[in-house]
Amino acid sequence: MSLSRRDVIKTGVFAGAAVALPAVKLAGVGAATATPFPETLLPKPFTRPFSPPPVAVPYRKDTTCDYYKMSMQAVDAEILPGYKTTVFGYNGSVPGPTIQAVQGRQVVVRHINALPAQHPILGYTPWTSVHLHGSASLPQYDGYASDITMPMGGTREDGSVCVDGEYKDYHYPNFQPARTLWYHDHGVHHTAENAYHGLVGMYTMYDAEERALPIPQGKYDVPLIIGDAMFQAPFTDAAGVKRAPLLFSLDDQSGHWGNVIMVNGTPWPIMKVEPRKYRFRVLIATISRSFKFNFKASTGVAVPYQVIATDGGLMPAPMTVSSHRQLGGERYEIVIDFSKYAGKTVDMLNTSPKNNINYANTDKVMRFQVGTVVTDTRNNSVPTTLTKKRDIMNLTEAMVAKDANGQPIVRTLRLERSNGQWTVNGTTWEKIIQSNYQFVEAQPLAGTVEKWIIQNNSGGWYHPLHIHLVDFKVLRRNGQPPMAHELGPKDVVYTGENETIELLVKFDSAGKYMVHCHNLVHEDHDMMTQFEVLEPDGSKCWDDPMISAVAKDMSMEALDVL
Amino acid sequence: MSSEVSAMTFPVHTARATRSNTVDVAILMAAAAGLAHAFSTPTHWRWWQASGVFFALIAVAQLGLAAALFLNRTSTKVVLAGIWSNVVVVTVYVASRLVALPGQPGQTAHGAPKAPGRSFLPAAPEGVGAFDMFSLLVELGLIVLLLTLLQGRTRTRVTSALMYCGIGFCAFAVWSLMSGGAIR
Repeated sequence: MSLSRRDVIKTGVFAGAAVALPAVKLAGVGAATATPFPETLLPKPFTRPFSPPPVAVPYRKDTTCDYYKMSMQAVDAEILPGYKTTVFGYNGSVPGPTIQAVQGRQVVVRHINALPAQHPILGYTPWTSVHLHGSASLPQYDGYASDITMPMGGTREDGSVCVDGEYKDYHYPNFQPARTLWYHDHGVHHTAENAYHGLVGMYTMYDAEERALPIPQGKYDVPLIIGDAMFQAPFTDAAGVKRAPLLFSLDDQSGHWGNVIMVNGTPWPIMKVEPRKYRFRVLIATISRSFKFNFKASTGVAVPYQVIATDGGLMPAPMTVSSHRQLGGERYEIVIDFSKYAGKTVDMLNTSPKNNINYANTDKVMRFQVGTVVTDTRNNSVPTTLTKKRDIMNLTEAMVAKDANGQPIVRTLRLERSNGQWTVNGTTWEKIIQSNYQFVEAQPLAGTVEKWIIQNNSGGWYHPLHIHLVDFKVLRRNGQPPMAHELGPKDVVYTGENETIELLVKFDSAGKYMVHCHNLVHEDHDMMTQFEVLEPDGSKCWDDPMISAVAKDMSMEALDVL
Repeated sequence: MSSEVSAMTFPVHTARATRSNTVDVAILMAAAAGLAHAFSTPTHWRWWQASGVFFALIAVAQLGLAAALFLNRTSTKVVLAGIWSNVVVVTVYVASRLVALPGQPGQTAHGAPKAPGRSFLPAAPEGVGAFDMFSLLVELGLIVLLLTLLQGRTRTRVTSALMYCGIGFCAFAVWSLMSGGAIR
């Protein structure tokens, strides 16, 4: 029997509501969080003045160590002129203050998680774990992802609330050669959001050898922390403040690409420079974006430059290049000679590597306005030999340790997406957690050299592969010699589409350490595993990343002398 | 023994000969919905045991309905039971997509499995996926087909009740959108 028109209408009310309402709810939530800031209202490139990050001031010093206190907190920054954006800063600064360390002098940083209990827009609890990237720290001070520090009021998985918040003291040995390091959040599953909201900062380490070189120093040695961001549509809050919150999208967990390129937190800045050599410490602190940089003068000519240092410090010799590619976590120190461009401008540009998402001005980074007067002519050259002391660059395949069968130890790390998850050899960090942090991908012996092969068999994405603890030498890229700018000690390697990279890795000290993709969305979802360096006699390291130094309750902080 | 009795009482070829096309389609839809819920039961059990039990019960009810219809049990009681059991399923579905259900576990970051020491996000409405939308449409179609098996005033009363359910859904949705901050 067919239904009457009245029955059809009445049933239609039910069926229509049942189908449409969940979809409307989804559409409503999406609209509330995903409307971007109008591109026409973004600042024009090269109009905002450049500024370096502030330098951190020690809380106290003693004969062997500098002590710092860092409070991670939510602050309002004016990244887009006229609009406030809530970000997460170290001591209120985004990026965080630069810690300047000297080889042989230790540093202890007390990191206090004073972040809100819940992110105001994304809704997660912003627990933290601070990694000093480039430091051979002990396992418990390496920013192990699951070694988290809770904010006040944060809710734990068992439903308990961390009433007072937590802090943790991180000890940094600073025995390695001079290099550009950086500290950033590494909290499990929230590294991308936390770093995106500003929890990154530079850490420069000097040594006598590097100080003795005639390369640019002091005010001519400039940090460039490059990030990208996207902002939500602006609105005026109840207090009458115009706001443009950060917009964060996982893009099916592929990554996050912003339409605003920032240097030290300023969109497309312009920097006044003298017509002489400058040394720039270029750090890519993006969540996912990679760059291929080049420099072009206002006369139209390309400006060559010298790469003098890589992630792990000085290269044996400077390499002159016209461009180089660089991705998340990589650091390159470059020297640009502005002496030929007095009165002109030089633009730092980006011919984006493939598989990035680009917008109107993501091909621009910053501009240098070259003056006509040089105020200091010292340290204005680059010698042909920078260092002969970097053992890592003298490694050869003949030095690779042998296994029980007398064969060289070669390990392969396949970076791939499997069943919607990012994996390393099919392993995710979840496997590490489920094993109570016992599963390890490899167990090299301290003091040995191994050959590690990094494979990316996909044409759809690139991976910045970062190995904690160690410096390594890039041996070959797709069977060919490494690129000119890679001829120095590294800890992140650009693993491009369908690329196979061969590395020589020396393991100097024992402990469990992470290896992961530095596309932070990949890392969070869940392209991260760990290896364990054993003591030379095959025993396990006494220091444990999850046990040896846990975060403490803030109620104890005043009594805990730093 | 019981199967022999059933076969004697309701011979399959006889039942097929006397069933309408409407009932045939309703059997397929009830079976499809039941299988869909049976398929999803283990996943839901691992996520939240209460939802796993609910899914198992739904699967049994819907497959039972398919069996009853197949055996020509099309009395008003059976049809009404079929309609209202599916209305309950649809109602729970709509509610679960608008708000977190009472007792629903909190979610870990980005849906990551639970692990010691992690904090987690508050419980949140479930997402809308292709598979659950397929099941929903099958159940709505099944309800409509079962309505056609009802007579006169009974059908009118049921369709009126369904309309009020639909209006209730709308009111609940407005409340959930306002309380969830999606309407500013």
